[in-house]
Amino acid sequence: MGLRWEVPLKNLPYLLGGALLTLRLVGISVVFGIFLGIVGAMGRTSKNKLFHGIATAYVELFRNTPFLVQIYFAYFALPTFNIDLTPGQSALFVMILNTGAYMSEIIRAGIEAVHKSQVESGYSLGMSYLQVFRYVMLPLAMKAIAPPLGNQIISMTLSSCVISQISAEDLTFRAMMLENRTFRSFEIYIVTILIYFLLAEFLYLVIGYINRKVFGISAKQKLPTMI
Amino acid sequence: MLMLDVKDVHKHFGQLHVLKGISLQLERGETGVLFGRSGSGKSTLLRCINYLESIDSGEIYVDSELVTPDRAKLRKLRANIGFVFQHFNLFPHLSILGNVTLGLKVVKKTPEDEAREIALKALEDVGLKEKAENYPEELSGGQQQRVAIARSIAMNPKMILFDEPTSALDPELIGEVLEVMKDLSQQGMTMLVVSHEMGFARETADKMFFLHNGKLVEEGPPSEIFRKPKTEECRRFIEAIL
Amino acid sequence: MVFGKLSIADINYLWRGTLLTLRLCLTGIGLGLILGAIFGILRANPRKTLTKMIAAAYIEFFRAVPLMLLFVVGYFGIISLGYNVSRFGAVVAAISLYTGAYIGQVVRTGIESVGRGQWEASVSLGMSYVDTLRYVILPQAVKIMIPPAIGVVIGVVKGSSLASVVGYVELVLAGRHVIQRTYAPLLVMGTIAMIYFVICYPLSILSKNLERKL
Repeated sequence: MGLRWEVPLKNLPYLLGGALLTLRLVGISVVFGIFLGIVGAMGRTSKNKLFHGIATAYVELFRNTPFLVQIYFAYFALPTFNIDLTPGQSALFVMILNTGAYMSEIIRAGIEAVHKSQVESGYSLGMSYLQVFRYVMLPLAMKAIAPPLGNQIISMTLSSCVISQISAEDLTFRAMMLENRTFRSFEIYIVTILIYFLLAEFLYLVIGYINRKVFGISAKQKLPTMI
Repeated sequence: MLMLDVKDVHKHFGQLHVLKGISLQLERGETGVLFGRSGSGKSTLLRCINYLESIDSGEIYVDSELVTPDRAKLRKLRANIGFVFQHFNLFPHLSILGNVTLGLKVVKKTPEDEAREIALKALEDVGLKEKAENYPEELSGGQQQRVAIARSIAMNPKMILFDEPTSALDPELIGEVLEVMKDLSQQGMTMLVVSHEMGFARETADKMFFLHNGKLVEEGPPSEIFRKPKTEECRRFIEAIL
Repeated sequence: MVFGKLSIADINYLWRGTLLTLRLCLTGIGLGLILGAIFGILRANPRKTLTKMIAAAYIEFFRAVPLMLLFVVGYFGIISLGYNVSRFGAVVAAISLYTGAYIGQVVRTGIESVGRGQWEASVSLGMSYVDTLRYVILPQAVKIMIPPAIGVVIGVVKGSSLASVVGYVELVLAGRHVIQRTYAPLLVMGTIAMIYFVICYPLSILSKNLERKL
């Protein structure tokens, strides 16, 4: 049985359009996820028991259950509460919450990477609080945050294919549509995997470059988290 | 009988020419002390003898055996050359006894009992027999370095190389290590020592080698080196550290 | 009623799904550990050997592809070519290869985190590369590897849910079957989430504690 690579290749623009959809969803969820992550990190470091408890429950629940289950939960279970979201909305909603949970931990670790002695040495130089924040705390925290944050973007890019399972439109969903029409599963999914691969490698390059140039970190890239 | 014969060795680190044609010899049973400013190439030379660093040109012979990158030959050669590191490099996951027996068991395939006996004897030589069951982290720096020396002795080497063996130690711990090294020298071990411990050199060394900018600029017995150094650099260096 | 009800049969069914998830995970982790140990050690070789490059390519590839699509290609893809594969076989192959790459990276990082001085001390005793790894480097590296390896295990447990996509009945697909019977999606998905949480959360605490002790 011959392989028919022309099937996915002829439809490459359609698939690449799906890749853009994926990137857009990831972009949105990262931006909102960072905001959520800041709030989550504040909660995790807060002395207020209620705030701390809620933040901890949120972070740990999302980090210790499968992304797929979270997606299904939103899709199947939320309508029970008469919350009706489109597949795309459900997907984005869960992507943001999921990213926010991981970002909370990343940002918290960044905050904890700033040691008291470093802050004190800032003050001892006669800096104001704003100056200490700007020149001591922020750069130190960003240095700790940037590499895992980049990693999280790649994790979400790869894991986001799961949203196709509730018919949210992304690269994988388009591959499924193509498969339904042509039945060339093998060729289509191999090409799809390659597109994800190139997407991820591109992100590795960009993130590695930013880490080196902006933050002066030449740390070896870790593998993405499995979410 | 020549134990160490270094012939016109050159070594670069990238653009940097760190060894510029070094030649030196050490007879069997002699103790040599290599000294010079940091960056003069003395540690690099020592590491080249054990092929921890490759050389770009020249030849090094240990007991008439050429130091080569050939892995099988190199392993044999290294088993016959002890190396004592500045930071001891003991194996933290093994007991003191385990540290000293590992080379015997793995490299020389010495049976367990025999290895243990040899190791205890080596530890006795450095005065640490009673620490055999302890772990490196439980020992002081001076004790750790003595264990490192015992680890070398146990392999019954033809020569031991010491790379600044006391420079990572607190001042009060230096004496015990130098004492062990002096004993070793008196027992006839061939030793090449990178060190600035001039008291040790004066008492123990048969030859001293002064390296400057990657060149061997002066060599001779301590009496000559200390009393009438031939070069200005060597005179100034000795004045500065004495 | 918002929650609906589950019969004993439904609960049994979910329990069987849980066991199948565990079986899949344990198989994947077992094979993944073997692959990961081999490829991680080859990857950590300081000399540029062919095996090192193969190991590097293997790890690089799997860090940049979605696990779900590996399941899909491994099962639907192969079937579409006219070959017969069992679901379990395809799913186990995919998850093992994927896990192997992650464990491989953990092994490599662990080996490389042992200081150069340990290598130098070993080779200067005349020890070979393999002996040095075996007697000096790996015993020290294993401690460093355990916390991130537990992280990989958590990832595998969560990732195994994606096997449902190709129709392999594990916990999530079992749950979807129960939902079809009971129309109690909230209760069923909530229960499933809790089951995963009960498996993963203690592991993540363990990993964190072990890491703190290093």
